[in-house]
Amino acid sequence: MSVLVTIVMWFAAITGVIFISYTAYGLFAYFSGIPLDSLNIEVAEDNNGVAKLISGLLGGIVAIPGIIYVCVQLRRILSTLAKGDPFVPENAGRLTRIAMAILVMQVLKYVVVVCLGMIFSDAEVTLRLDLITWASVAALFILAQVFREGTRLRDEEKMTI
Amino acid sequence: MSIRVTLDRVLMDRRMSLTELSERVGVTLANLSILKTGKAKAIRFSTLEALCRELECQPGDILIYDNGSGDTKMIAAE
Repeated sequence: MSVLVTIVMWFAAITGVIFISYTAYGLFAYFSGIPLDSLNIEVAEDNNGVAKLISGLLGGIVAIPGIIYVCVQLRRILSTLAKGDPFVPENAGRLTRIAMAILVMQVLKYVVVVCLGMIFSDAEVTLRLDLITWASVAALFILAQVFREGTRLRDEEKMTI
Repeated sequence: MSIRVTLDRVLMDRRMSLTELSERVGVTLANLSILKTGKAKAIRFSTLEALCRELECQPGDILIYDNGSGDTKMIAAE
């Protein structure tokens, strides 16, 4: 499991760097007037294309470190599991941090979409409420609280003679 | 903590070591040490029963409620 998370983390890091570089170059080339045919990037001549490039770039800048951060926290939780004792208070904090990271990514996504919508009034930017993600964030916060209470009860049990 | 454990005093009165008590009641020395030093968060009735049986005392001889007014000293002295 830990290997899988590590693979996901490196995959996100590598593809993230490529994606960010690609989009940044695309944006740079668009504003510099360099032809983008060699990069296979198709950018519409209107503001919609620029808006998509900017949203892609900002999305990548926010999401990639976020995914890596979540993977690092998951690896730490899994390492406690491998040691045979995952019910430690630190894991409750890690679950909370994962929930916070997803929440921040979601909020930043909305901020980017709203800002782009305001800057490029003719661009097709739509604000979608991703209920599954928000439900996951809520579930993670609840799970973290349950975990915290569980570790407290276990500590109490440990000190019961 | 307002509940104090006076196991050391009872043991001293009975001239019994903690190791001997641990063997008699079937509780590990480490756990009895936790209880004696007041670090325990709770005590099971079964443990209390075993302690009272082996030490021939009442729960009140081992556990004392300390309300911080100094009454405890009087109770302990009695």
